[in-house]
Amino acid sequence: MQKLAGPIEGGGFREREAKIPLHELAAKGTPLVENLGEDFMIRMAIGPTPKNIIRFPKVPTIPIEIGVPELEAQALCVDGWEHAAVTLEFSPGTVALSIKGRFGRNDARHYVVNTNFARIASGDTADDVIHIVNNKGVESRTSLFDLMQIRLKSGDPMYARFSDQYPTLDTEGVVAMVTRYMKDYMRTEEANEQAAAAPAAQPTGGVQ
Amino acid sequence: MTRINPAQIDGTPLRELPLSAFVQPANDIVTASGLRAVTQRGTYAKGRMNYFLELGTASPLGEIRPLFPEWEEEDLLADGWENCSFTLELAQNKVTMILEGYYHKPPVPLDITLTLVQGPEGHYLKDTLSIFDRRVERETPSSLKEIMEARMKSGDFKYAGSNDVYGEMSLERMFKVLNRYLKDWALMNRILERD
Repeated sequence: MQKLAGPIEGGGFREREAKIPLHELAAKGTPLVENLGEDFMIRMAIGPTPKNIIRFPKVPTIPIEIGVPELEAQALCVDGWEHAAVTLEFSPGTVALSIKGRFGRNDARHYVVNTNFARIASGDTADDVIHIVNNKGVESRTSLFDLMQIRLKSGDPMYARFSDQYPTLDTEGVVAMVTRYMKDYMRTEEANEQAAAAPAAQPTGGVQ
Repeated sequence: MTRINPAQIDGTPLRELPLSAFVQPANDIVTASGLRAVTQRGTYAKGRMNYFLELGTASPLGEIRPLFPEWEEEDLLADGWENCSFTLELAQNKVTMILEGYYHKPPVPLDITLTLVQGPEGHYLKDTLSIFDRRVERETPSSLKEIMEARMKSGDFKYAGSNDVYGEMSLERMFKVLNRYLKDWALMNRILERD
């Protein structure tokens, strides 16, 4: 697990965990949920003006010490996201991750992607669905669990990182996995359409 | 878990303090957060408030201790305000306050933005007020200083109180003076002049 340095009172730094598994994040959000008496959310916007915000229904009366996942917004745009909102909604003992956005910057080929993945502090999964609609309205559904089962001929995971384990998925890993899948999905659909549009193969040779 | 009172400094409600009182606490909060600045925004619409921490593209390395005034709905959403947001950006030796919102005194619809930047030396580094009339899409620039200096024929201040001192006014007093001015502005500009 990657560690980041954080300042401490009186100077100096301590280490802070980054890439926190979602079920651990759910537990870390519990003191704030209890303090507020209501849910709160962290949103990371990806697109021309990336920014991270935390929204509370009122001002918390305890210090806010919760990790905000570090997403490479610029790199994700280069990978194909036109814009997306990655949201973590905290409720008692649960965190729900959603990725809503448009993948593909081409008006003739783009996808509306809606990913929902909810984890309970105990580690159980409450929701796991990836819903994709292309610009012609054709829908497709899968899940992170299914994506993690897909492997290359070599046996390596096709979309997941080597370090990814389904029970300990973190926000950064989920976003990366969905992005890799969408790149592949777009390429495959494009190739299929090109193959269907190509004229039937002509017989070789000619009349003598 | 340490409990804090984000709406007070040393027992005094923040809304009763001038912006200069926020500078030292802001320095402590920014240092503890590990960020370059902590931007807090409260949005108010009738019966509903949300509090936002805006982090730019950064992730806080430390803890963020909120420092934000507690407003009664009638303080901010006084006569004429449909909705508004109050932003407090805390940075090292600099506190920025932005009040913006939609003010509507029929038939006058206005977008208002008041920006005050408090430096460490006690004076404002910036003081701007923008009044944007949606009917003619025209902006009238002004400032809190200008409003406070406006006088009646008698010589008395038109909007400020006799005890109000520019640069030392509490947030609450600032908004009272601003509201008096906006009410008057809307009244004076009810009828649009023909070009």
